[in-house]
Amino acid sequence: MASPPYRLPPALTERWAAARWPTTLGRRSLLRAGLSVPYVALAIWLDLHGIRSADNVRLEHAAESLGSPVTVGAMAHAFPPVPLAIARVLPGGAAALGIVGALCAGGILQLAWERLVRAQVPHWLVAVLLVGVGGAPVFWFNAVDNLVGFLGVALFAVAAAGMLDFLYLGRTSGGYAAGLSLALAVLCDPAALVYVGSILVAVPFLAWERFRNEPSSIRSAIAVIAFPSVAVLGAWAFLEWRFTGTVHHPLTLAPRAFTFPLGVTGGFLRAASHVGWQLLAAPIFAVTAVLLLFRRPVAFLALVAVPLDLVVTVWLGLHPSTEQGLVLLDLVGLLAVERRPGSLVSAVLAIETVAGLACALVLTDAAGTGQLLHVLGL
Amino acid sequence: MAQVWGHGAVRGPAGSSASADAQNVSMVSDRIGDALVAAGRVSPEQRDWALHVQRRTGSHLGAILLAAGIISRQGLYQTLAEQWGVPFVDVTTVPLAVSTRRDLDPERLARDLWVPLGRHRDGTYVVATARRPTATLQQAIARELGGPVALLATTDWDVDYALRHLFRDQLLDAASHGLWRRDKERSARTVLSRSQALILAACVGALAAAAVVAPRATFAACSALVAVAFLLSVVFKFAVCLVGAYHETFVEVTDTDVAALEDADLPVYTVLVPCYREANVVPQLMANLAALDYPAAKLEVLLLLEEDDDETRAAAVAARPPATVTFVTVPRGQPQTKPKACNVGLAFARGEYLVIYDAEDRPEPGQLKKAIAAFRKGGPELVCVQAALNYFNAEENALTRMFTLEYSFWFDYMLTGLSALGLPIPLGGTSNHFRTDELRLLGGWDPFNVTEDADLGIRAAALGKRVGVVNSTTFEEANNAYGNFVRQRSRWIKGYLQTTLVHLRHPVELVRTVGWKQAGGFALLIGGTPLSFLAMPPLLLLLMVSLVLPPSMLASVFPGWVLWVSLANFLLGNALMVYVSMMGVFKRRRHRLVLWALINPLYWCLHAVAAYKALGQLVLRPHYWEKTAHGLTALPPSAGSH
Repeated sequence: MASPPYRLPPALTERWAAARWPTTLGRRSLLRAGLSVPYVALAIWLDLHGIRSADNVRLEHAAESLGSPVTVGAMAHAFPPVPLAIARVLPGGAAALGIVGALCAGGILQLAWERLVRAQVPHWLVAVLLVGVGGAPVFWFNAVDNLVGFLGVALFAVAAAGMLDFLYLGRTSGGYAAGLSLALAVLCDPAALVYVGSILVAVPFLAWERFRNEPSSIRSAIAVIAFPSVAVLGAWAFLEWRFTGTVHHPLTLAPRAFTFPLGVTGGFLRAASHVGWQLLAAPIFAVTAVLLLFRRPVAFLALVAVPLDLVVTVWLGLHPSTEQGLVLLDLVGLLAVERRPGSLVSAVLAIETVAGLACALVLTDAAGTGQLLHVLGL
Repeated sequence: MAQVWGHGAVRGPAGSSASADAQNVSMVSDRIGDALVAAGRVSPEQRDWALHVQRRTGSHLGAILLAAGIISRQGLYQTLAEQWGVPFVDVTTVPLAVSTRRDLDPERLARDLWVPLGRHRDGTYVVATARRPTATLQQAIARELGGPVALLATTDWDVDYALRHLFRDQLLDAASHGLWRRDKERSARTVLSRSQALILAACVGALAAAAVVAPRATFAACSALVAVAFLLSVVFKFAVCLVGAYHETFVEVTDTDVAALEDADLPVYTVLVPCYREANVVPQLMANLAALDYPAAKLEVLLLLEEDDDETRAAAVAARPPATVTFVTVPRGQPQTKPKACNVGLAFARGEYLVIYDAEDRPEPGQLKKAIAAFRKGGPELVCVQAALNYFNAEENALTRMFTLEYSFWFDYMLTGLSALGLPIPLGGTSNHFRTDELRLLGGWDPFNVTEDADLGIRAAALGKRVGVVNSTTFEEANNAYGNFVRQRSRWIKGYLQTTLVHLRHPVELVRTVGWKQAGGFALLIGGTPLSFLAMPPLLLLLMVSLVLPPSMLASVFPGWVLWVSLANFLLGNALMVYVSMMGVFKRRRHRLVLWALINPLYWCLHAVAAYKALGQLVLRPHYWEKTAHGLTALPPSAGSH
């Protein structure tokens, strides 16, 4: 057997891959803050008008119900711990939770922007894509209305970007980002199990493209990405079991799980059609998927893991909500935009994005739009 | 100088009519080439080849011929002696008595290449030198010795040989107590300073009193303290590793940097190789050193052999090393430690840069050049660069696999992260490259500290110097025997404890000198590492007890939150260490080892055994050096490092 390359792999020489954008942490933070301003403004506006998000209010109440002081016995009701901890320590109740979501929105958009810049996507197209995703009602709605779900989606986006760095560029910092973000997502939103599933399905395809000559590489890539999530869930379950005598695994938070009200087959068809409509409402994802199908079929298989995973989870009666699914597909589409797209691809992406955004704004019964209009009292 | 000098060993023209005008190296080299040809020691073709190499590398012609094995050292210097018009002396055949001139510094004499061998009845000092015996040199030596001087020519090896015999006690004392005499506060010769002893006694007293007055609260507080210390140490390491990972795209030295180095610009590089009872690895050592990509004539390898280690010496002789390898005998005396041997080596080092390799090391061939490029890029404040260490026998057994997991994250993430954050870097035991002069200014290694390397890195930081890393790897032999592992690890942990105690003797001064960030990093890394290993057994015990007994039963001893925090910390800490270990081997593309990281907690249990042994030894045998046996691997030399 040939000896594996135990020496450190050569450093990246392509500047586009190595550089951050903006270059310093301060500038990146500033950009994140700037991008979050409209969402923060919306959250404040809603609060000033007495409009409360039902999901965030529920989270606020759940945090309050943990008691004061919090005892170890409260662990049974303390999942997901991260948003509960935020709700617990943050003054301002549901409104403050909306602002946290809004700040996360800025973070996600900066991440997507950075990725597009590093992929040398034309500036005008970057602007169109970001407006297309960040300006969609479903994104606005999710950011300020559902902290739990939005944190999960945001962390999934970080994880997906990290995974791409890890598996395409061989940067282990990307592996850390992917693994730790997924673990954090699991502690934020039970629906993150879906995201973990999507990523774990995608990893073998991407790892095969990058490390196919290295024995055991696919197994080890899956291990390093999945370990943190498994570890935090396992540790939480152990502690909960020791201190409360029960294990309320995340699935127990989905009351409709495994109920199959339309029957097994009917439920599956319904789920498939549901996600199919979501795909139509996520044009960037659709265009990217079609491009990958012809140019890099293996990577295409990794990409379609996301909607397939959504189908399975909807079929099983788990999370996420339709809105979360849409944001998820939009973000995955953004992250998967090919490097240095040509004029034709750029044009198609731009037209699809603008059309998608226009439809979402015009069709008031589109996912997210209706809810947004409703909470705005319009 | 009690000895009265006779002439038995002197050969060649009488008197010392040294040329008064110094001549430049190239002129001398040209002439020595012709002289060697005339003397029939080299052929004209060999001379021309050497001149060709000289034009490329800028090395001395004699050094080139020596390194190539074309000429013997004695032959070269005898020819030089004839050319210089002075007699040649073979110092090894001269009876040498211990020098009484304690005012002379043998370290400087070694660098200046002269040694007083004795004195004639008329008061003239007989001095052997390996330098051109100019009148200027003669006058300078005469001034220093305080009397007339007769110069003899000899080889550089003979100068060192004579110095080691004549100044044996002085060298031994400098190697053993040099740092301690210079700066007692930075030496580990004293384990606890007076104030530390007082503080420790006060803490133990207070703890005992608290345990009597409020046993439950004391127990709970101690448990919480152990858990928090464990978590702090682990989280700090993890955070530094993350920083290291985010700097992985930054390469200290690129291939272009190395290619830009001209052989002619390369300085002399000293390689120190301390060997003790390692006869079995000597042949491989010679092969590994021969593989270094560096002009042979500019390489000085000092094989540091203990006086009582005849077996390794015999093996080294049998290996027929090239002329670039010098045997340096380390005088017997306590403490008999690697740092003492290195200090002796340092006294005879003539290179501008210096590196330490262990006998079983396999450095990547370009490492010396990369180190030089790193030094040139890093500026004068950079006094040391550490190369990464990894193992060639990684997959030999479970222990070597775990060792590899640990080293991969430590050297590829941890040290990179520390360097990026500007925190003190504890040097690894080998492949530390130094500016030789700066190393001397730092005081060399502390022979009383059993992790002298880590201590030196911290001392450099404490004195305002910078230690960096270089992106080259040395492959070592991982310990494959459990007993051997515990011995080695207990020494390392004891050394970390020693280093912590030494550098925390004046914590306020430390903070004032290096700042909060560096002092905190030092405390968390060097102090936190042994503490986290020591904390492992109580936390593990707690975990097991909590598995057997429900928390309600433990409530009488542990408040719920203390138990929760302790267990959560323990689980989180172990998970973090498993994760960095996984990533470390992934980065090295040792994919088959990734899942082995899952048994890292068991590996830590082994560390805990070593940690308690280290603690005991710190009290009972603080300066005892637990020797690690090398050459135990059954794998062939070429395994795993390709």
